[in-house]
Amino acid sequence: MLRIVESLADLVRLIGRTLKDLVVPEFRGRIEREREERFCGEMKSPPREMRLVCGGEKVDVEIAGASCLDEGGAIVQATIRDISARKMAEDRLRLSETRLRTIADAAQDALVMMDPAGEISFWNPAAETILGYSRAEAIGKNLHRLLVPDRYLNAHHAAYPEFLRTGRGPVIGKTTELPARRKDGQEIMVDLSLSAMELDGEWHAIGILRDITRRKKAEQALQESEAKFRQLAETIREVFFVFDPVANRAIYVSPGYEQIWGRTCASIYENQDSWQEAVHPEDADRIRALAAARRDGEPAHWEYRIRTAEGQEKWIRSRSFPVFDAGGNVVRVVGIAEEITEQKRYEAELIQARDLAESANRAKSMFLATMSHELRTPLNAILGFAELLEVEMAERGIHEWDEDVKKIRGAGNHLFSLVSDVLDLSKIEAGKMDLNLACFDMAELLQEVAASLEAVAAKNHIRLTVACEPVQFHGDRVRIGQCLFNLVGNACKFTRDGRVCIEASTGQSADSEWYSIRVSDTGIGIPPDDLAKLFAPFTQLDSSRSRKYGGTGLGLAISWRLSRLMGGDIAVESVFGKGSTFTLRLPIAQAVEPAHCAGMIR
Amino acid sequence: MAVILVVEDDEANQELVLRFLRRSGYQVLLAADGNAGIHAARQHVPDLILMDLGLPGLDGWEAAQRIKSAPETAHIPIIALTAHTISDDVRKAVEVGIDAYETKPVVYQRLMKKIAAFC
Repeated sequence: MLRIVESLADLVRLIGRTLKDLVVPEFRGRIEREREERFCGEMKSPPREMRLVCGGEKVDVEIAGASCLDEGGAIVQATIRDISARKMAEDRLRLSETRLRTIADAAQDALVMMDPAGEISFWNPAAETILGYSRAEAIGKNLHRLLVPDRYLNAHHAAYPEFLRTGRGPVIGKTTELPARRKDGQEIMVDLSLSAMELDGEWHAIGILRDITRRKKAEQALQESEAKFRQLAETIREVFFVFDPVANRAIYVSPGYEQIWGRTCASIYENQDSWQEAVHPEDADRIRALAAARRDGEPAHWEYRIRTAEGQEKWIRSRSFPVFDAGGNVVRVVGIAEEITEQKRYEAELIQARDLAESANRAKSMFLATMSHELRTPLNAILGFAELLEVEMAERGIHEWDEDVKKIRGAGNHLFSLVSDVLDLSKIEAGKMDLNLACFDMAELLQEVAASLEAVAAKNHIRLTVACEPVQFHGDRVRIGQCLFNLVGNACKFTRDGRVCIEASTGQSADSEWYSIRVSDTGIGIPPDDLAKLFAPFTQLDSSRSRKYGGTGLGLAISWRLSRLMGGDIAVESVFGKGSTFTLRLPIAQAVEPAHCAGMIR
Repeated sequence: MAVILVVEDDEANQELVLRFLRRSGYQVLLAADGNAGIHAARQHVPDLILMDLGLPGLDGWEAAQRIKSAPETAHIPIIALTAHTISDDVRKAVEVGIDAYETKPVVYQRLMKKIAAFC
């Protein structure tokens, strides 16, 4: 709005105020100062902007005028132009610019402008971050040379003249994925959205660049991972499968399916349950039920048979696992199915071989048992006739062959023990050793064992002692006696001029109560290395010892097996050269309690 | 002179026991299996029976049991020849009413003492 007033008076009239009143307070001092200056002489004052209050409204004005001094006083000529509209437009522009600047500064994407000379004319902070050049470094530089990797320069240069002429180009108005070079030389992948802008008949380019290096890497990683999965799933002979149990729809089935089932993968995608059509009729019901349970989230480990279209029977092992969502619902089932026909065949062969071996072993044991019995009869005759020979020669006063006859009897007796032990061992191994449980007095048994070995002990100058309170025990007296006879017999055999103690006690371990009988000696002891093989059959530790000490080498093996048969064990502690302690442990309360045994140790 | 019935299937052992018994002045009857043993026991009612337990067919335990359960032979002492001192043979022998046992290998001089104790 422009109003021209002839004089200040007119102005005053026009707006009904004095100029002084009109000026907003902050300008008043300036007005006073200027007036004094101006009224000092004729002078032209450059236009200045002021804010007046007009009709209660603030009005921006431009006062251009000259003041001159004449005789009558000061004459002020002034043009006051209302510049409120311009001011407002300027403000708006400034605001808009600020807003745009803020946006450009805040943008995560790089905003870059290129002028018609190909030079960078705008460069926001994101551009600094993404491309590495500061604003100062970038502005005025040739954009292509700065950012485009050398191998793409020709393409850019080729398209540029057309752009300058028409504002068009192959990448204008589009978003393109392309590499850019950072200040540090590293190439990054960017999404470039390029637009053209005509200013004063010339074409400028505006580019928005987004760094997609990370996204590209993630995409690449995903692709690689996908490729890996495919390579794996499509190469392995097994069938890898994923299905949606809710929709009962196949999501993936690997080509192994076609090989094993002889059906197309497509058929599975059409009908997820179609694999079941091949299941052997005898397995079909079971598998159908299991498949239903699997859809409810049961992990599966199945073995079943299928029949291919060619009538081939195959064994399949299928293992699958449910995949749950955060809410615990089964959303996927993944699994693997493989053909195990060969394994099944091997398994069957193995079982057959094992059965064969077991029956052969049983037959061997039976044979040994029978043989042992058959061996004893003639052996008895040999020993008997040797005895008869001895008696009759003695009667006739012939002593020339006494030693020979004694040797026949000694060797015969040894052979007899061997045969008896082999019979026992065979019986145990054949599972034919039955236990006869009854109540008996343990102290009495221990005394009996000691008494039967008294002769051996005396011969070796051993003090044989038994420490056991009379106590009723429930068990197999014969077998316990046999174990003890072996243990005490060994102790007496391998000790010279020493002590053998038999002590009984009850004890407790973590889960059961034990009755322990310790047989300790002050004999030759056992080297630590030999402790492990102590209970194996026919391993009297040193064959020279066997000759010196006698015995079959089966006693401990039999005792150990008997102790195991009775639910107990035999422990051994030994100091080589000092002596050994064998402890027979028997479980208490393992047998059914017979009425007459109540209140006694069983 | 006491009569002793020997139930023994093996010829060598028969001869052996026969010679030891005759040396000690006993009269000896021989039976080679369980049935023959039972029959001889009934017919001759010996003063003592020496019974090998491992007999073919009807075994020694069975034969001993039948002899012990028949009123006319129940009083005859039976000494069994068994495999082990501590064995099932002994337990079974005691169960069927056998009076004494001698473990194999038989020490005949010891056996003669046992027999002498009964006759």
